[in-house]
Amino acid sequence: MDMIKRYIQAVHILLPSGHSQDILAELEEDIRSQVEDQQERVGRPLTDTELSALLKQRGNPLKVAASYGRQRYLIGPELFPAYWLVLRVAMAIWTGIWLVATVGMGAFSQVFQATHPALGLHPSALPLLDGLLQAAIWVTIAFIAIEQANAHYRFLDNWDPAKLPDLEPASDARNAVATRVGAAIELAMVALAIGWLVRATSWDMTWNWAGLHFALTPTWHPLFWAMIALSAYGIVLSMAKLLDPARTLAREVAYIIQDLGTIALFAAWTTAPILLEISGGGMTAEKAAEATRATNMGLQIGFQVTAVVLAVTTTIKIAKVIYRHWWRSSQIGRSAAQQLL
Amino acid sequence: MAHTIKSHDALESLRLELRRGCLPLAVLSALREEQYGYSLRKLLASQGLEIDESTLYPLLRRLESQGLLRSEWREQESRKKRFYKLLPIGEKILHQLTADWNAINVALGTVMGHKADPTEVPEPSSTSSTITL
Repeated sequence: MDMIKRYIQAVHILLPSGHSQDILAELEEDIRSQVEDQQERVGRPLTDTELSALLKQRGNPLKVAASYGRQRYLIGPELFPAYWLVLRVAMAIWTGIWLVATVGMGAFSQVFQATHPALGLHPSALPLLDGLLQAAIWVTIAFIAIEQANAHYRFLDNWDPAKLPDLEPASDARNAVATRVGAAIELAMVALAIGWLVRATSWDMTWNWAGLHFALTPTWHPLFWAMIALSAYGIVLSMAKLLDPARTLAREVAYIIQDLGTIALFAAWTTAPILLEISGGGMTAEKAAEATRATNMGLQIGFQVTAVVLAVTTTIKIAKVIYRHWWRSSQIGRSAAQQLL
Repeated sequence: MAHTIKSHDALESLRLELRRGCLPLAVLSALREEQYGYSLRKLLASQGLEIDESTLYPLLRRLESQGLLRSEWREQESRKKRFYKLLPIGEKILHQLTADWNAINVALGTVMGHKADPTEVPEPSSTSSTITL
């Protein structure tokens, strides 16, 4: 019988507060009634083994105590799928940023290469783990807050079927994977570009090759910030595409703005004087000036050609957007109106 | 083998779900006559409806807090026991639930293509018929 008291005590410790004495008294009475019942059946007092089996059958005290409590969740079954999705996306984004930044810095930054041997993957894994942990903590806290708020205000019940996202065309759905892969590559490229730019602005952008010394002139510096801003904008666009590959008008316009910015940047370069200085290699000052002039002319031509190509492709892109979103819809509207008439 | 275990688990889970919904109706019906906890469990078990005590007692508390039952501690056979009895409002609710149950029964019979016949249902094993929420 001592075992029954110990069982009741174990339930008591775990029982939610309020009415606990009442619950325990009833529980004990139920156990004693069951014991009496069994003793009557076997015609003798129960052994400790039999009593132990009887209590075991009733369940762990933790489970018994929990059955009297209100079911509580930090993140309930309604929100859990959304929580899990957001957590995975947040972790994937952070891992992507870390990977691209590490590889980019390892490829282009001499300081990073010096302080992080073997591409820095091992020493820079700590920021990755730290970021993943931070992402998990903040996403979890956010969802706990949403869960608690929803428990009070039930705002998840206030939704409008008319505001659900538009149906994606079947072909878009099929291409979603390809679009995401493209976005991931785009993201990697832009992050590499940022890595290169960070190096260019943080350290003297000079290098030696075949006995020659190359140095970017200060003319680059104001344009670097424009390039960084454009690259950061590109990262936001790629991430958005990675999360939701659906082609929308807003996204197409956002990409056109990026293209226009890039054209402006190349146009600015074409008007810049000397961008790159060449010296060394046993050249006289005159020869070096000649080499610098020729190289910069080549760069100018390259920038001009690139700007023109970009201008043409962007014009085509704008024309396509206008056709897809306005001209065709107005045609459809017109033909529908004609049919009605 | 794994497939058999999986389908057995699925059956148990569905069976539990099926029986869980009818539990308040069974308890309310049984409490038209006064019972204490253990006697109620025995009564239901004798009629083929074994209920885990950690399911029954919280349910009794819930039904009492909803005003459908009353309970009182009384001494019987030199031990204090808590007796439960259906209140008039509980009677009304039971009446409505019984009507709902019958309507579901008829609808199910129609959906399944025949009238529900309890004799067609195989006797479940004692362990699998215990209801645990």
